[in-house]
Amino acid sequence: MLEFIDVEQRYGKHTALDGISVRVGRGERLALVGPSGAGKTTFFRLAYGAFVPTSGKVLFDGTDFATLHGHALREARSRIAVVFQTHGLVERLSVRANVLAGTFGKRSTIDALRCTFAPNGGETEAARSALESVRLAERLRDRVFALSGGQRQRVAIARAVVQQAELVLADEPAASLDPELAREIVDLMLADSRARGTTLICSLHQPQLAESFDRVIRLDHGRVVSDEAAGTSLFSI
Amino acid sequence: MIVQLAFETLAIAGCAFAIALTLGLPAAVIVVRGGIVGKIVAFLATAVRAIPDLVLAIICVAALGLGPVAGVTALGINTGAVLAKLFAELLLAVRREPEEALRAIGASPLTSFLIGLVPEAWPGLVGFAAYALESIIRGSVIVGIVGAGGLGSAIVQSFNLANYHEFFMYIAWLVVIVILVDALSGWLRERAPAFAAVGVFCAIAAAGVAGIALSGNVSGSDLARALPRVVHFLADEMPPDFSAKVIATATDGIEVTIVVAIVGTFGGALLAVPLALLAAPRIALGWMRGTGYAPWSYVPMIISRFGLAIVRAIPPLALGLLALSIVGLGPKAGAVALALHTAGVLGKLFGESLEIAPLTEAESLVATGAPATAAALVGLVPGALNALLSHLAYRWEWNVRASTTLGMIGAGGIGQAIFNAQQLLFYHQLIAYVIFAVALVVAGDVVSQAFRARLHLRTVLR
Repeated sequence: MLEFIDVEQRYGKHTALDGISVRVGRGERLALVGPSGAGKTTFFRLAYGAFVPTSGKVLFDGTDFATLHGHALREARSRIAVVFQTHGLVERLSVRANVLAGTFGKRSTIDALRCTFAPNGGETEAARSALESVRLAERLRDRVFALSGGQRQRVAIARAVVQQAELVLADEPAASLDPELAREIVDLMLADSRARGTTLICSLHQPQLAESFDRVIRLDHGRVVSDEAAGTSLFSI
Repeated sequence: MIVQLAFETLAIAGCAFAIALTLGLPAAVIVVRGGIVGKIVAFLATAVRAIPDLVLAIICVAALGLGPVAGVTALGINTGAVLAKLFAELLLAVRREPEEALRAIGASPLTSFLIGLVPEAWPGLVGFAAYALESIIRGSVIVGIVGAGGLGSAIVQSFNLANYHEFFMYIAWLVVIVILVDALSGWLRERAPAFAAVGVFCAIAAAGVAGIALSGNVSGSDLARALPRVVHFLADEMPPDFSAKVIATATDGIEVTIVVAIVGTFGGALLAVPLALLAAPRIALGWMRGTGYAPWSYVPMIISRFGLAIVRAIPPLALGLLALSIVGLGPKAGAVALALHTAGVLGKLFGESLEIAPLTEAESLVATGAPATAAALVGLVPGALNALLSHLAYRWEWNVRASTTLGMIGAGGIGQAIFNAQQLLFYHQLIAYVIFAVALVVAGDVVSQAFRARLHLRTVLR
């Protein structure tokens, strides 16, 4: 599904990723752990092709991101969903508009704007059913800024659901939540991944949350320091 | 010829700057010290600020006669009142502890003020003084209308003689001076050492006063006596003429002026949004792979940035004359001029708001394959919306003033009524119209402040 081949990313003198090779199979649920500054966010930004790495390749479904442009790049990205620590939601818009934004990959600009400001019945229904899967259907018409941190993350997950994404990238989805809520959000994402058979890559601060994943990769100073099936080792941060 | 005109303009500006600083600094200190005197000075400064600049110039002409003294006095008083407010707000906002500490150990009030408070406020003081200099240069066109001399007068005269070749040339020269002064003021604000700023300011003020005094028919005592004579004139022409005819003319005029301000503000905003979207590097060139309009989008970006800068550099009154020459006399010309100027200012401010708005939302949309334009409009613009609306409110305040001013050069409205009354020497009527104009400006400010207070509330609530 996603493959990093000897990827190096430098920002000026600073090296964010120092020669990483990782292969993530379809349907795999991977946790990425490591201290801040380990290169996790750079990993995610490369995984959706935000930029081309300094050296090395990022393959999505066998295709090098660097060779994709314009429509093909959008097409590839439309199969990827992202959940950010800061949610990546538009606070001024309604929950429904934010969930439907997941379908932008398959829409023209005009249609995307139409869908944001004047969604039709079918689209509203799609948003509602996605929100039901995260138990938030009753907030469909609320503005996002009225929601709590945990509720916002659930909206972001619902967006991935409505998008029917094959790869879900979650950068620190639980970092700004209290432990109980963090567990709930991670469980929701794992459940969604199992239900739809999607690939999930999730970076985490708290190592105990990584236990329910298939595989755990630990990053430090831009390198992979361990790559094991979950539960096989005791690691500490 | 041109060089002489340019020097005249700089002399007028320097002299007005000297007046503005001499009035503004002490007034600010008095306001900050408070008490009944402070309140009175604060009220006077607010009242003067509400008088649109050209209206003030007309009052000065009525009191002092046509010529540089009237122009310089009007410009100086107007900017002085603005500086008084800005300086006072600044001095009230900075940390008071260093001054208190000096007072506590027995330093004199003046020492504590100079050593304890002024250094804290220094960057702001320099910034506002530089800003005053910029707006005075732009204002030199305004006082040109009342015959103060310099490029401003040359622009107005060549326009009246329909000599458009010279008209455009003078405007071009003024634009060059404006850009140079903006560059100087930018350097003073951001990089110059403290004493260089003081030196430059004092030199400009001294050179201006000397230039005006040496230019022949103006003596230093004329300048010194100008302000008391304006006050005396105002007292003589009381009470204002509030007859039914005057009130009818004033209400009609206010209606026109409001319409011009509304069309100018919203027309300008409509022009500004697409220009800002073209001019903001982040959107034009892209913030990640797959965004940005096209590989060559730096071309429209540079063109729109350049266009915005030029439109901003042309003083609005010169734009007004330009519009009058193209559209003809009447409110339409005023609305066109205001819309263009507003587009220049808002386009820049919108662009800057877009550059500093958070990118996360837009990035998360693009990451899922959204078209870049949709991602920018849905993900980025809402984040900049509060700033955009707040800028819009400021422009509205400013445009109510400018719309009055444009009326005086033939764009109709209350400004036209003021101008006519001055031409006919109906000074009791003149003062009545000025009172109406000031009330209109104050009402415009109140509307805008209420709007901005609501905006602020919404930001806090979320």
